[in-house]
Amino acid sequence: MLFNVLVQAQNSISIKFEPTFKQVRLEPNVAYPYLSDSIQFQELKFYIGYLQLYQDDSLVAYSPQTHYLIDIHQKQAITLSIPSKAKFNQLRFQLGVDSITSVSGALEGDLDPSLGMYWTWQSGYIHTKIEASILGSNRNKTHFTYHLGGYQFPFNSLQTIQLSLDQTETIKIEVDITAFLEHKDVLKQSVIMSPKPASLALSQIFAYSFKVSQK
Amino acid sequence: MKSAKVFLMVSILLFLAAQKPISFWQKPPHFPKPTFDFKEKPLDSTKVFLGRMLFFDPILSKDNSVSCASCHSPYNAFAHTDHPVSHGINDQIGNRNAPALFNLAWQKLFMWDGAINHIEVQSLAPISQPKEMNENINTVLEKLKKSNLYKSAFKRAFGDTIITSAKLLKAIAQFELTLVSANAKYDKVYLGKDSFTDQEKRGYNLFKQHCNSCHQEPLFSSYEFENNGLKADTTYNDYGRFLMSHNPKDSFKFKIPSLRNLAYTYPYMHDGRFKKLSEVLNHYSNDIKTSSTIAEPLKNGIPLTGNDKADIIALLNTLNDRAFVFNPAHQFPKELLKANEGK
Ligand code: HEC
Ligand code: HEC
Repeated sequence: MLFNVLVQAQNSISIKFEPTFKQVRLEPNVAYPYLSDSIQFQELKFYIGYLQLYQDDSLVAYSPQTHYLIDIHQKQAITLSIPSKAKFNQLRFQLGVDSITSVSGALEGDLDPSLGMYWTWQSGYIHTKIEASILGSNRNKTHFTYHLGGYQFPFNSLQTIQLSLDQTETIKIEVDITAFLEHKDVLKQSVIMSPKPASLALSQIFAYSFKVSQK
Repeated sequence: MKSAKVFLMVSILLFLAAQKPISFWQKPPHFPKPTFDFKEKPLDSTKVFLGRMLFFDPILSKDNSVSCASCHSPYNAFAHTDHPVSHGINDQIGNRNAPALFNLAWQKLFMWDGAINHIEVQSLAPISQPKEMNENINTVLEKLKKSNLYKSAFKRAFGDTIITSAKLLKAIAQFELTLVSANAKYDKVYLGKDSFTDQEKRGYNLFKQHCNSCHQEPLFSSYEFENNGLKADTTYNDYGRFLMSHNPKDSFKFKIPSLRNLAYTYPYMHDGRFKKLSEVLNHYSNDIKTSSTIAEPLKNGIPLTGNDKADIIALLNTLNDRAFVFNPAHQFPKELLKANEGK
């Protein structure tokens, strides 16, 4: 519907976020080797907000929706249209839901509070949700539950990400969580479920997982 | 059976269709500008009515036993009397007193500790809270989708039968926003239509001197967070606003409640520790517990004689808004009974 009124010739750019772990595409409920054990992910979801393409410092195009919920259980691509001769060399976006959106009441679509990304007892979105279990002989079964988010200062966990890239019609952003899961500050925590210093610290570490895929 | 149900459905639809759009919301002339943006989100009679149905319907709870009104009764200015702290599903006891609901359009933050930032998302808290309604919002949506009554009410309110959480939440909020209490004796005096007795006048002067900095006229609250010197309760160990901000300066601060409709909303304070207004005034005069976060004006207690207290209570009694409490537009919608009968 959005694309049928073309004022000028437009090109479509498709952007995909692809979570990976140890260089393989991450699928839910599959065991991957981790430290001396194995790990299985039940949930990996995060919000991408205000996705924009830039040529140096000028805005070239922005996504039709303000926010997208990326979820390992669903594979989807985000499509942007840009003027056909336009050039871009940078992708900018937010990781999480900004504070203005967070105080705007009940929202629809990807921001629907029934999608498991909204804290009910305290207003605010979970920006990133990672739930995994570690299976190993010496650990029995341990869980990781990271619900990272919150919009109130000083624990506003929103991250802004800028990636330089070459112009292509399909952009693949790899979200490699290997370094995150092996980070010493992450290893110290197994449950985070509210906005607090650890939620902010882990959000900052998680933001480093985003890279332009060269594959 | 079947035809009886069809008949019921038809009569409910006719009833709904016959409802005239009422102008639900008018700012009382002496009230400040509301916080809620009615220009951006105008009230609509069909949404308000849907919200009222949902507010009174136990369908929102896991075993269909508890409605919002179970804890927020219209006859108690939408508070829960008798119980110091709330009682929810399976008679489970919560840890805070259910506050009265009125003049919500003027509040910036909700709950005793300000955990909720917008009236539209507030309902998510009681619905999912294990000790309140203990239900998953997605299950509520499934239940509503099976109900013809709700299908048609959502259609009337939103133009289609697609039931989403955002619509459900907006409708409940719309009903709550119509709960405006501005018709007590105090308001009539303020607008020059009545006058205070001598005792009420004395009470009013004492009130302005000692209470108005926090319980600001005409809403009788600034809706800020303060520590009014209650002894910390050892049962719940409730740190109030600190739980949200993690800032030690907020320890034991709670949202200042409005003093309207106190006759209907006892017991008082976040944990319902006082049953009577005289106990509240004795607290302010004799029992203030000082701590690092106590509000400055209360540090040394408020010096009040027995007569002063009686005068302040006389003033507080002019804030009881009978017209609000017995407003038929706020009561249980009888259509719900008909819809559930004989099933
Ligand atoms: C089991 C009792 C219970 C039920 C059921 C319940 N509430 Fe409440 N409500 C409370 C309590 C207790 C609080 C205060 C909670 C806090 O401060 O943490 C509250 C707070 C509120 C507030 C905030 C008021 C303010 O001044 O900050 C609103 C609005 C509200 N409830 C609406 C609702 C709605 C709508 C429903 C139904 C969807 C509902 N409640 C169901 C007990 C209940
Ligand atoms: C410094 C701010 C402040 C001042 C001054 C103050 N109060 Fe309060 N009042 C509060 C706060 C905060 C609460 C809620 C405390 C809690 O529940 O933990 C409260 C609660 C109350 C309540 C209970 C209402 C309810 O619904 O539970 C009453 C009644 C009350 N105050 C009356 C008064 C009167 C009368 C005066 C003047 C003699 C006064 N207050 C002065 C801050 C103040």
